[in-house]
Order: sequence, then structure tokens, then C-alpha cells
Amino acid sequence: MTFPAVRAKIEATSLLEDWSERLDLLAQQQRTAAYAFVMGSCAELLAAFEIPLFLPEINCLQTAVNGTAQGLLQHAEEQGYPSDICNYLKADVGLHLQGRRLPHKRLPAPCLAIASTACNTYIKWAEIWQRLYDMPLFVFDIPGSRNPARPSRPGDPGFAADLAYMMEQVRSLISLCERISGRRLDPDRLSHALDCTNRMGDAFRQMLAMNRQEPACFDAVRQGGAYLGVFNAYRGSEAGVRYFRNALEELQQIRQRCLREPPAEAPFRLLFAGLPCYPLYSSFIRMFSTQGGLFVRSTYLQFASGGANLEYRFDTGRPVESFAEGLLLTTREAMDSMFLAGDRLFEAQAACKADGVVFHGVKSCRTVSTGLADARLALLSRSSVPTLLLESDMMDRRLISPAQMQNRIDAFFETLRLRRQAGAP
Amino acid sequence: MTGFNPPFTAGIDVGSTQTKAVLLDVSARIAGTALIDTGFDIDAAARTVYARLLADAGLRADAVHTVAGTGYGRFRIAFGDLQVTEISCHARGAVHLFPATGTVLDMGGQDTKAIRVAADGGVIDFCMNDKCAAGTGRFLSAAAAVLEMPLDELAAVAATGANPVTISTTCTVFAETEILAWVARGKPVNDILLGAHQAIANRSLALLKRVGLQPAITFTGGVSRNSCMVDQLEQLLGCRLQVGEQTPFAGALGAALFARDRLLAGRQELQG
Repeated sequence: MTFPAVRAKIEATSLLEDWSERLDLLAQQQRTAAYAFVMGSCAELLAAFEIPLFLPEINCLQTAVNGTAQGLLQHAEEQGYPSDICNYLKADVGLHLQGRRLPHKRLPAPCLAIASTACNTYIKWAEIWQRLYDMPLFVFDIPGSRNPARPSRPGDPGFAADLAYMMEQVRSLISLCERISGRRLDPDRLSHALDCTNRMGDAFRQMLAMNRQEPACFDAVRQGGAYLGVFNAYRGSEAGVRYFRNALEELQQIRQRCLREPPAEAPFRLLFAGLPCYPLYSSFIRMFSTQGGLFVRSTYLQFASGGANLEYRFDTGRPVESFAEGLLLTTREAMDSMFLAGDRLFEAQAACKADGVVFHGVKSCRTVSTGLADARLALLSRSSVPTLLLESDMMDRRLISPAQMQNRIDAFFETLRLRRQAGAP
Repeated sequence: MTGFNPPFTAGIDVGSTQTKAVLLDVSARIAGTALIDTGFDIDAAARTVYARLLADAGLRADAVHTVAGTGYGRFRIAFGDLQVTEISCHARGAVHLFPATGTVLDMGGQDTKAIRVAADGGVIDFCMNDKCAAGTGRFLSAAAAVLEMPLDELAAVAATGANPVTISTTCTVFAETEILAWVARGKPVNDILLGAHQAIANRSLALLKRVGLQPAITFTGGVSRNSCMVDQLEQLLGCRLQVGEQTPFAGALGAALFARDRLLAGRQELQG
């Protein structure tokens, strides 16, 4: 198939363990962290104030992968949280109800929560923390694109108004962070953090671009998940820059090797749309890889990276303004990639020469799944590329039926093989 | 028999409720069909239906070049030569029966699927009901059980209903409770059954729309024998469905066609 990016996987595991250990240490020392979400995390601003960052979504998905999520979900359901709401939220509530303790780590209490209108559950979720801990909650109101075909760009009159609105909000958040941290904003520190994210993003986008070519160098769901974890948890840091520099270098080596030693049979290049199935993470991917499928691209790497796929570089010479501009553009990009997909999937499928498109809707995340239906219809109206629609969950094992999933995947690959036999490009 | 391989192929569709088998000759004409209840022993069901298929056709097993299995029990058919999903098989079988087919609706015991197909019988897109059996044949079985009525009589009774009740639930188990509630309220059985048929037809319509309806629509699977369901679907769709005596066997037929592909490929190799 392809050669695994072993070094990047090991380094990602190590970095994410370090991140967990630092959070555990904070909890032991009765210190606090800012809670934020991957879309609009404000990691660089928090780094400038040296306020530790905790990303509950990543923690939740880790509990799904390591099998501890079910107990957390159960805990929240026993409190009356219904079965059909966001399971990230519910697992997180379960975690707080059991004292922020997991089998191998504890988590710090929040000193601040940052949410945004990118997802309405973010706001309700953060309000729960506020009720539990009585700490400040800052909600960004992100102006949307309104027109997916012509989103406003820097230089447009509409964009100037949106940016001014964002600037006011960023200034308010800076004041809040100054109050919480007891220090003034150091623009140089913010510039440095933005520069680090710029360099991480440069490498990440090169890696994504490499996979659009043939042969693809990594599985965008399996390996992409590791890249994503580090990108979110380490954005704005030199450690993140080092990781992505090494990861890019490793992929370049893999690409050379793939060109020298091409596989006997070309893989089926697949485009993934939606969220991974974290409770069955490895076996879900294996259901595809054992039949010759390779995910060359994933929309998850767009919205769950907070829009890092967008060609946006912060201007470190005007850090506050550029931070506000980047926050607007990238978070809006993340939202649009879900709700206003329009022709994006058709263009993505053509660009990466995907043989098929896999849609994975999850029952407990309406933010992702609502947009998926329109994206699928938009693709089907323009393309005859085979598609597969799977529905399960990103957290709750009870909502997943592996046998049904396998049957549908088998049918999808039968179609792909028949098309290839018939000479489909 | 000639110097070539045996000229027949067979498809066996092990469904959750019934197991179907189709025998094809080398010209892809249906040479026989058989149907039995599946029961709990999948392998035994497959053997029994295959034995009946051969006996009815007056053939021995060595007259059959390839046996293809499909349905949820396809991997348990010990004597099967290849396995193909029921999604691919229903698509292939439907197009073979009705070449103008653009969309297939397969309604079986445990699942309902909408399949958009290409002219060659290949699958373009498909959607299936989720884990719940609401909207499948099981839903009708549950209704029949609650009303203590033979399954075969459901369609005829439902067709006499004039004021169908609304079955609002999306769960088969709770639908039983809802049916009992209608009985307790004194609603006539035929109206309750007509309501159950309409509930399933509505759910099927949603599935069909998800794959993008392309005429003509072929109705396959065991429930395609149910004339009331055919009527309800036709009313909702505003068009005639392609349905016939062989449509309950479309899955097994598709499997037999995939088996025939192997037979023909083998002949080409011999000739080559």
C-alpha cells in the first residue's frame, strides 16, 4: 500500500503523552488551564500569556480510542443527559462529574473557557463548565461567509467590517487574559507563537499537497489523525515546528521510496468526509486498507485543524491584527468546509483523483453530519464517482454496528473493483 | 455436457428470514428457483435450498460450475465458490430482470436498501436502513404477530382499509406497542395494517430520495410480493414499480450472474 510514517507516529504519541503529563502536573499542583476548542482555539494568544491550553475534544476522542469513554458517557446519562446529544460533551461532563480523573491522568480545572459560534454545542458545553467552576467564558461570534461561492476576502468592504468586529472581540479577550494571567500582552511573544504556527502550517499544507499526487504517502485518516493531534495541541510552539519539519522530511523520503518501489497494485484512492470512528479507530481503517483502500484526503483535516489547510500566514509584524484576521479566516474556513461545502468535494475529488468518496456521518455530532447530507448531494449532482455513506459515532460504541459497516464497505469495494476492471480511470 | 465446464451456475441468497436460490443456464436464462425459511442454521438452510434447486431441475451438483453466495449468511455457505454482497447482487439481478432499471428498492426481512444502478447493473450509490428494523419486512412481521394474523394475509386485509392510522414511531419494538394502542382504541384492523404499510412506504421513499431517484424503479426482495406495499409505494412515487414473480429472487439471481461471470471467464481462458 504505502510505507508507514513510523517516526511521525512515534513522535506524535510522545508529544501527546507529554501534553497529557503537563496537564496532569497542573492538576496535581492545583493549577488551572484555559479550555478551548480546536476551531478557534486561540492557542497563540494563550501561549503569549503562558496560559496552559486544554482541548477537551482531543481528550474525549482519546478516551474513545482507549476504551474509557463508555464509562464517562454512562456517568453523564445517569445524571439525565440524553442519549442523542453530542457525545464529546457528554463524555466531558462525565469526566468532570468524576473529579476530572481518568485511569492514568488527572486534568486541571479551567481558569477560562473560549468557545465560538462555529458550533452551538461549544457554547452550551462551555456554559456547563462555567456553572461548575464559576470562571469566565469568552464566546467569539465569528461572522460567517454567507455566500460560499464568494466568501469575502481581505480587501473587500464586507471583510473590513467583519475584521473590525473580530478585532473588538480579540481586544476584549486580551483584556480578560491580562486579568487572568496578571501580565500585559507581550506582542513579541505573540509574534513568535504566530511565526511557529506559520511554519507548522507551511509544512502541514505541503504534506497535504503531496498526498494529492500519485503515489500518496500517508493515510489521511490514520496518519492524518496523528498530524492533527500535534497540530492542535502544539500550535504556536517550537516543538510543533520541529515535529512538522521532521514529519515533512519523513514523507518526502517515503515518497521517494514509493516512486522507486511502486506497489504491485495501485491502491483505491479514497476521499474521506466526516469524523473518524474513534471507538473502532484502527479496525475501521483496516476495513478499508485490507481491501486496498487508501484515504488520500480527509475533510477532517480541514475542519478539525481549525482551517489550517487554508493558505493563510500570520503577519508577525502586526500580531494582534493578524491574529484576529487569521482567526476569522481559518475558523470561517473550518465552518464552511462543513456547512457550505458546495462544490468543494467535487473539486477535492478531482484534484486528488479519488476513486471513491466515503461519507461517515456520526449520530451525536449534528455540526458535522448536517452539512454532510448537502455535501453528498452536491457531489452526486456533478459526479458519478462511487460513494459510500456510513453512519456510526465518534464516541459511543453502542451506536456502532461493525458487521453492518463491513457489509457496506464490502459492497463499496465490489463497485470499485468492477469499475476498475471495466477500465474506469 | 460438452468439453467445456459445466454449463450451469447458481446463486444462493441467505437472508434473515428466507433463503433463496436461483439456477442459471449458460445463456443467463433462469433454469430454476427455490425458497425456504432460513431458521437458525445458515449452512443447513443453504444446503437444503441448493438440494431442492438441483432436484427440481433434475441436475446433479457437478452440473453447476460455480455457486455464489450472498446475503448476511454468505460467508457461512460452506460449498460456495465466491461471495458477493447483497447490494451488488440485487443491483445486478434487478437490471437483468428489467434492463431499464435506474433505481432498485430491495425490501427484505431485516433491511431495506435503495440502490442507484448503472445500465450494466453496477452500483452507483446505495443507502440502507440503519440498525433498527423499522421500515423492513420485520416491521410487518411484528404487526402480523401482534394482530395474530398470518403474514400472507396482511396485504389483502390492509388493502381494504379506508382510514389508515398513523404509526409514528421509528422503532419496530415500539411500533408493536403503538399497534396495540390502536387496537385498544377500537380502530379496525385493516386501517391499522394500512397505516403500517404506509409507515414503511414513507421510510422507503426517504431512502430512495437519498440515492437520487432514477426511473425506472424495480422493487425486489421478499416484500415485493406484498401487493399492498406495491400500491402504497406507487402512490407515493407517482409511478409504476417494476415488479414480478422473480423479483423476490433478485439477490440470488444477481449472485448467479456473478457466478456466470466466472464461468465465462474460465471458458475464455480455455479458448484463449
